[in-house]
Amino acid sequence: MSFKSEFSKGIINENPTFRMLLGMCPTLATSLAISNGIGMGLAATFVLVGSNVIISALRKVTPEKIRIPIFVVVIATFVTTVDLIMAAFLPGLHEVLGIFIPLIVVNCIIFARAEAFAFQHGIMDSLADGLGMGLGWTLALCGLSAIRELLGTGTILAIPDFGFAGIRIFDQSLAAVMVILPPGGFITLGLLIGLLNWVASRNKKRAQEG
Amino acid sequence: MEGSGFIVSSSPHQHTTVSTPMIMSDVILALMPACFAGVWFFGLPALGMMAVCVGSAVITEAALTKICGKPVTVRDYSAAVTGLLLALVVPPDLPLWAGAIGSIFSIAIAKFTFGGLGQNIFNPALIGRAFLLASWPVFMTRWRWPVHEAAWIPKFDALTTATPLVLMKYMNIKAPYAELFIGRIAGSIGETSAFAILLGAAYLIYRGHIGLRIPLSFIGTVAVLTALFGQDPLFHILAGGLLLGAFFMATDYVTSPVTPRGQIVYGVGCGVLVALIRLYGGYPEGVCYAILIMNAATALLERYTIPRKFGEVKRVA
Amino acid sequence: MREVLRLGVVLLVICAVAGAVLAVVNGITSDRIAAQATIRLQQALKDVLPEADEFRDVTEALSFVKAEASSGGKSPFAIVDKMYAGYLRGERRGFAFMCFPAGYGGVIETVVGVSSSGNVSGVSVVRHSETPGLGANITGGEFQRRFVGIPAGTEVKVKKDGGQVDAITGATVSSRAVANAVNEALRVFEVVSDKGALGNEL
Repeated sequence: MSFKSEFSKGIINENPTFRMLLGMCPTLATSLAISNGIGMGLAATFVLVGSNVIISALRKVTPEKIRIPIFVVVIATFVTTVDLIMAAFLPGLHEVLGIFIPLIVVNCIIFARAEAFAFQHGIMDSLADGLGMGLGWTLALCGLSAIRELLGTGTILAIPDFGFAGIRIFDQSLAAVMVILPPGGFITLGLLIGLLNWVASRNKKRAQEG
Repeated sequence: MEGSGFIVSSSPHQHTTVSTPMIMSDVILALMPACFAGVWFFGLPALGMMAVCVGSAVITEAALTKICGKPVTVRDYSAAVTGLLLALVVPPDLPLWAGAIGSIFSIAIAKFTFGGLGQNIFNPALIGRAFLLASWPVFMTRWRWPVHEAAWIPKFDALTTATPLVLMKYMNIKAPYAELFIGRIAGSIGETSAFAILLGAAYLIYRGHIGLRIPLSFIGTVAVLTALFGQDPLFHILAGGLLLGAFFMATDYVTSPVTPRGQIVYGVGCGVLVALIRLYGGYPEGVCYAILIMNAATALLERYTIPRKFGEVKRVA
Repeated sequence: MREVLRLGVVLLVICAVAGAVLAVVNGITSDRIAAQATIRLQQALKDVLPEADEFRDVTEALSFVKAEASSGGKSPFAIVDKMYAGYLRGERRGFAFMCFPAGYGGVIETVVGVSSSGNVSGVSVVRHSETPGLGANITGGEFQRRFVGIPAGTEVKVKKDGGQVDAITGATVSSRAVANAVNEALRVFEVVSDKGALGNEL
């Protein structure tokens, strides 16, 4: 497998959210605005790339028996770093994402990639895998966030940290509040997964016929 | 057996000429008194809401059956019933576009994502209402004066007021029984007139389309519990959406149990939840949520209340 | 035994490196994180008392007021948590109160400013967990401005409770909580301004 294919598989074919259904909890909880999606996605990508590279580099010296504690220490170090940097430089976003930044520690996307990929592959491949998976998750979060932010608040691209209230598409009183509440998250995510599955199965059928 | 088109169940079997379109058109007929009362008390906007809800429900159903390649089920009136029921449980001043979105949500999300007619777990009209309440709470809790004003209702401003349950819960004002019975009160389009609802319910019972187990155990439980907690049971029966919910929503074939014992447990469960929400909950009314929660329990209730076959011996562990 | 020791040493080395990295990151960010909290607080105080540009924590005086007013096991002003005096060029222009009234979804962290003239100069909601679309509208400037100008000595209530402030449609509980915070803040202000000596001391 080349660098490019290790990178691109995470974006569509093995997308962590839509294809592997990993990390559902932070996906549902933080996909309220596109700025959240970008912030959360990039934070997780940073952790994912960092932990993938370090775990891959250490795989030869890591004893099989204590690999899980070592993964936890490596991942937790990166998460704490992200957490502190965000608190210092992006306090508004840090406040909104709240508990979900420290909880990246137990995000199954990161753990799954560490155990299933980085521990068995070289550093470059692991780097590509981390980047691809992180970007795939970021894109999924942003897609979900875009729908929920637009329908639930009537604005799009609001970035409170930079004092930008967003582009108002329609009046606040017309916005469907449920979409930014938890049930709206479940329904939107379910419909998106269904839609992508439908597209995928149709493409497959066409490929077979053609 | 597979694909023969028959559903196999335990005997006895009986042939019937009763079909879905026939039942559904009877339900629509039975809802007519409540519709008439809605238009009488809230004017033409109520009629507009019914037209929009029924129209968008039917169009959504037709479009989705076509897209999904399912047998076309529009002609059985079930989508029309869903739309009409939704129109009857929303406030008369709800914007028409919101009514349309609620209907589309009812059919597309509550009915079709589960597989269409007969497959849905939850009552589609009530899901539509719950969705509207969560999405546009301001529109969904703004109640209009009945066209024919009554002196006992406190005026909030020129047009809006509160439902009897709100007046009771937060301001301790009790609506007179006669007004509750006739329906000259604020409320959802089709829930205000107890008389109109009972008239329709009597027709459905006479035609044999609904049984009495669910409505009576539902209403009875609410009456007993509210009386136990020192409130007026008759008021609680007549106010809010209890009668409409008990006769027209809780008895939905698809989402309520078929076993006799299951139906009674289901009705009692609905009643307990309504009483809990009305007396202690954050909302003044709880019929919609109570029925939806018990819908979720339906499969379980049926499983535990299947009648024993003749001669079957209870297994001893 | 050798195996266990080897595992221990590997884990120890990795943890030590991780600890060192975190120490460095913490060293870089800790000052800024602490400063962020102060900036936020100063900004919130300035929002509710725009006349002042310098604020001093005078919560000690608040404790004194609370102790004085308590009688028979009752503790008044319980929702008022902190008190700040606002100054402009050394001259006191009013007080700001950090209040924690109970809303629909939990406590609503509210800052209430009262100018020296005895009128509410501003209300701001710093943190809350009210329902989006309903109670969450208490963060809107339009709602918060409804309180501005209310003089000390008035009982602040929403209209539904017979008061003067329009509640947010469908969010009476949240509106009532903010009104309650403003009311309590005004009560404390009255006590403080009555006590001339205490007032001069600040």
